[in-house]
Amino acid sequence: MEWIGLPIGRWLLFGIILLPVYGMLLGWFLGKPRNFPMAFRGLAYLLGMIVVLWGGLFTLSMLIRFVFFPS
Amino acid sequence: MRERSRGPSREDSILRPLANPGTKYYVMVAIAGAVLVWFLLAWAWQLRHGLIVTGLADWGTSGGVPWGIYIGSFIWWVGISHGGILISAGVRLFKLKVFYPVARLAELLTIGALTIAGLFIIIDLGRPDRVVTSVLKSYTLTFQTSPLVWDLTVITLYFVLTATYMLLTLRHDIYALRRRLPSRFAPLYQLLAQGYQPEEDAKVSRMAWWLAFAVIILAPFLLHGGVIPWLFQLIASMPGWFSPIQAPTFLSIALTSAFGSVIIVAYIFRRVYDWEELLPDRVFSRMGSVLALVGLFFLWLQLQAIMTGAFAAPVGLLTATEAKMEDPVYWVAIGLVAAAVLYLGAQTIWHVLFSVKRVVIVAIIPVLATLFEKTLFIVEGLMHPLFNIYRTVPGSYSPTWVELSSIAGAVAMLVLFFAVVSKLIPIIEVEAEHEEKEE
Repeated sequence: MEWIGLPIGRWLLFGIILLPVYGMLLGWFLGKPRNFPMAFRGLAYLLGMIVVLWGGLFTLSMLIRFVFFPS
Repeated sequence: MRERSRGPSREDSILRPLANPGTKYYVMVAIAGAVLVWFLLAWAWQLRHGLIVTGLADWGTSGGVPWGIYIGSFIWWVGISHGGILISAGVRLFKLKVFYPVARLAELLTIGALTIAGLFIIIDLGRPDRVVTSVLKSYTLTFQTSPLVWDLTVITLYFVLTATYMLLTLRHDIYALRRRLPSRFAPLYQLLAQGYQPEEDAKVSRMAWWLAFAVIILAPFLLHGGVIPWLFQLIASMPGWFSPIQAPTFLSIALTSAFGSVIIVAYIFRRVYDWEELLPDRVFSRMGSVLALVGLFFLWLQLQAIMTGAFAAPVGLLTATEAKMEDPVYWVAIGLVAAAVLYLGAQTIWHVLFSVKRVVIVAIIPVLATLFEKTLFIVEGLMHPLFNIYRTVPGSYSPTWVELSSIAGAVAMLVLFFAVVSKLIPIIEVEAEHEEKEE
């Protein structure tokens, strides 16, 4: 399914679902009190947690492969 | 203003769980650990022999359903996780001061429950070792059209926002309590409060406000009232699932199970650490009232679904609705929620009926009921598709010991999660500024 020539997932995820997150990031960086190091720290936490979550999942999946599906 | 008690200070009370654990703590950890080991053995059995050891079966050809209690539990745990962060975000955004004492407990419940929810997706797979590689390899293609991939994306987002929220707000508390925290975990505290400056508090408070803003829109309207129900409500060939009110229905179930769970977790901590002052009766009274309200919301949406499906619906929807209404499990779930709503509603009106213990006992009821309802929703939805090419191979589903072990294992995991985290960080925020003031 397409809407204005774009696949649904593209406008749904990036055009609607992420809107509150865009607002949050704008608030962090442009809102007062202005403190860029803290805003960047927040951003680093966000990105770091993505790595932790998917990295942890990847480690678990590899452990399962090693123990149960070695071939 | 409230008179300060002459007993231990607020800080002393908050730090109580971080003291050296006693025998009861070790007994609880041992029991939860044993249950977890049992579940891991059951899962290993499943990985060794395949999904044949579950009650799941190929849809149609083997006469059964490929999704059962695992996916029901996934939705249930995601639902529980939502209430946690919503309470916390509500405290920050709408000044719901009465819930301030349970805010961090609720955030922790969100992180624990969301992790467990993700685990149920892994358990449900025949080859869980392929999950990360297959998702990431085709992500740029699948995110464009697959509700399942939207689901993974938004759950990741939700987890990350909650964890960031906690990490940011913890910095101040760790710094404020730095001289009183157990020295054996000093490296952890240094890492968590790395680079902390007291001047950052104002900015962090504002950043937490913006996080709460994002969460309060995302969690109810786009996640549990959006992407998660879309896994089902967009499937036109399943009349039991295909409904525009699926999103608010999911949300009502999530809020019901979540408020019930927060009440239970808060009570356990209050009981174990004598936190009558930190978690006073009014917290339970108000949470009980909110639980009655969201439970009523749940019942109202069930009524809408029954009326639409049973009055003069198309054949497919009528069949799915009749099947649901003929299943006693459905009425047990509805009856349990109704009983809880009646009692909690009555105690809101007649305060003489209120007691913390009663609220907690009644809160357990809808939490269990929502698990029944969610599992039934998954199974019945799959059992009654619109087309009937599989009519000659009707199936049934009942969970095996392997699947039931996962439910017990998940609860044990949550117990262990709280047992460990409560020994590491203060699970009630140090700042008292948000506390409800009694005139």
